[in-house]
Amino acid sequence: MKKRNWYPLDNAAKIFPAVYGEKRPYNFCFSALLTEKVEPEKLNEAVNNILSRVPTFKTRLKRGVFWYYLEENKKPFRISEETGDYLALIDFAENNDYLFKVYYREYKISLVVFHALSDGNGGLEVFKQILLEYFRLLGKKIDAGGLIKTGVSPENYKESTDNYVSNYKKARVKIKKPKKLAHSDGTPFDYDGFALITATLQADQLKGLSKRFGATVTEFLSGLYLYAFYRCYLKGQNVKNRNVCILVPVDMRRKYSSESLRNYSLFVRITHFFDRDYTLEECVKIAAEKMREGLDEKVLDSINHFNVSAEKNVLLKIVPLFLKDLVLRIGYYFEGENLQSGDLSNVGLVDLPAELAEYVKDINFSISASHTSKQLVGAVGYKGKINLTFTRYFKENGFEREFIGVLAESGLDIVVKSNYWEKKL
Amino acid sequence: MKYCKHCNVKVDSSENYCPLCYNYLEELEPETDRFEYYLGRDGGKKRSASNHFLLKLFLYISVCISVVCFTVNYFTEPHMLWSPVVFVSVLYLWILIGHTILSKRSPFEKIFFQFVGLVVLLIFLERLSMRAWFLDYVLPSILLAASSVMALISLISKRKNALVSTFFVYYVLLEVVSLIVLLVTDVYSVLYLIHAVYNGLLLLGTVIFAYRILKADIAKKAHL
Repeated sequence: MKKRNWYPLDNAAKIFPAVYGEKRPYNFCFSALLTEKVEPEKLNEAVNNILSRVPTFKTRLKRGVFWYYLEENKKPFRISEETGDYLALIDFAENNDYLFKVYYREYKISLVVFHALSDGNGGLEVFKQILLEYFRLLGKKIDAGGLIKTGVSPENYKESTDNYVSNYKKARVKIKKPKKLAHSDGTPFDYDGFALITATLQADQLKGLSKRFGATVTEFLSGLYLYAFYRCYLKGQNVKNRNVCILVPVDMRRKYSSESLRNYSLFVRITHFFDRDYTLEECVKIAAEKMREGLDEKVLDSINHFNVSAEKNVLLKIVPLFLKDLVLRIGYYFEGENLQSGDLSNVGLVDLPAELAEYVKDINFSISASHTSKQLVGAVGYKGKINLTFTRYFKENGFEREFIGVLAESGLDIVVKSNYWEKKL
Repeated sequence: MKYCKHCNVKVDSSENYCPLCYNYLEELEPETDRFEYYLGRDGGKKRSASNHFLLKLFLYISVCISVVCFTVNYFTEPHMLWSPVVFVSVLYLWILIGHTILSKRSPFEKIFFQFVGLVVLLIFLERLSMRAWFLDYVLPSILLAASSVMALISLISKRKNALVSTFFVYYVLLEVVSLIVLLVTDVYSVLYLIHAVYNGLLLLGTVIFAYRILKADIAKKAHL
């Protein structure tokens, strides 16, 4: 097979280059806390080594006549020292045109990825590979044990395929268009960056609590999100739009045994109209029901069908890129706010090989907030703990207080970390 | 590690107040070698005030100039309209500043827009001068120069493979311009004929010698 040096953007990625900017960076980040201080030269070498096995990350974004595409980037990658607002927009030109960044600071390594490149689970796979390669370069003998992909084989091409298109099926379940939605809002910062709060919970305690509500962890967290949102932004307030919609990404790799490192997730929309006072139990029940409905294969296939058929539409295809950009930007300007009230992204448990886990104390997952999605939660489990990272675009932290408050009241042991972004300097 | 008795959470921070309720924290155990997980923000970074003052000012001045010129032209010499030249000049300035100087687009795209802008500007200037010089001499000279420069770059540049499809598109566009002038207008046509043949040969050469590169590049840039 001829070596490929360019890739069309996958179905989900197509929108990001048109609408990204300072107000919408569309990044997500994995951070690992190590037991020893980071050696920047080795880390830089590790990232460059890994790029040879993940060609879709060794790319730069280019404009075509009809679509954007990813083209092989021949420049070397350079890691950077962590900054306070590391989730902010990546300056591609300053980053040798790469669409991701790797930061280091003392014991911490972070991988920040622009969403056009990959989604959370794809990014996590690459992050694990970087960690493995880094420790191997440090001379540690680590057996990947099938938990992390290593080496280059002809099968690697599967990692760069667009599985939205390859698993496209004709399915038509009518998907309701969301009505006007309630939104989280507050006083914007008068400086760049996002407020971040991480709550670390014991996984078994959270699972036990979810079980008490008859829900899985993701269902419980989604219900709690609804409840905290309702208490923070709707309860006792004269708000016109009382319809709340939370987007929960679903990793499609397991469903279709996909190995793709590109975007391959769809969303379950947990929508509810808050017409009266609701309890936490009711919210969890609503979330669990909507999750189960949303995870139905026909529904997910219909969403994929809708998205891919738009891409396959001949009339849309032949519209020049500058016109597509213009239409998407205008559409996002007017309708972007109405897509969701909030996002909860749970990438699940991270399983590292035992020899590698010795050196990695903690793993965290965070998502950059944006002008259209001002409050997000990222969840990841590692070594019996679950880290929930709240990102927000504004000063007020009422939502986090409600969310973490409920967990603390339920008797969970919680450790909180924050970047105190609202702090006056 | 610190503790907030109001929120009932432990707080891992060097700050002495809770990030949730902003009450003072109790010290649980003093840590000697703690790592601050999050970096706070640095004081110097202020959000850039993006009210685009210069853009608005330039837009306002452009509109003022155009309106004043049109008014003066209409009331002094209504039978001889020179104000469109001013509009086009202003438009050209917008291309020059907004696209050529300030934007981060590729040099070839900038050159292309400059070429189009300049041609339109010269056409209007020609109309004002009331003598046919642009279409007869200037445009074919520009076309010949453009084709020659591209041919030269194709021969000497180290990046010539990356430029094949861009130059191919430009050759086609230049050929189209020459053919339109030859077929539609009745201007002095020898220079256009020379350009059409010369440029056509360059086009053919590109197709013959760089067919594979051209095909791959077009598949990449114009994929559907």
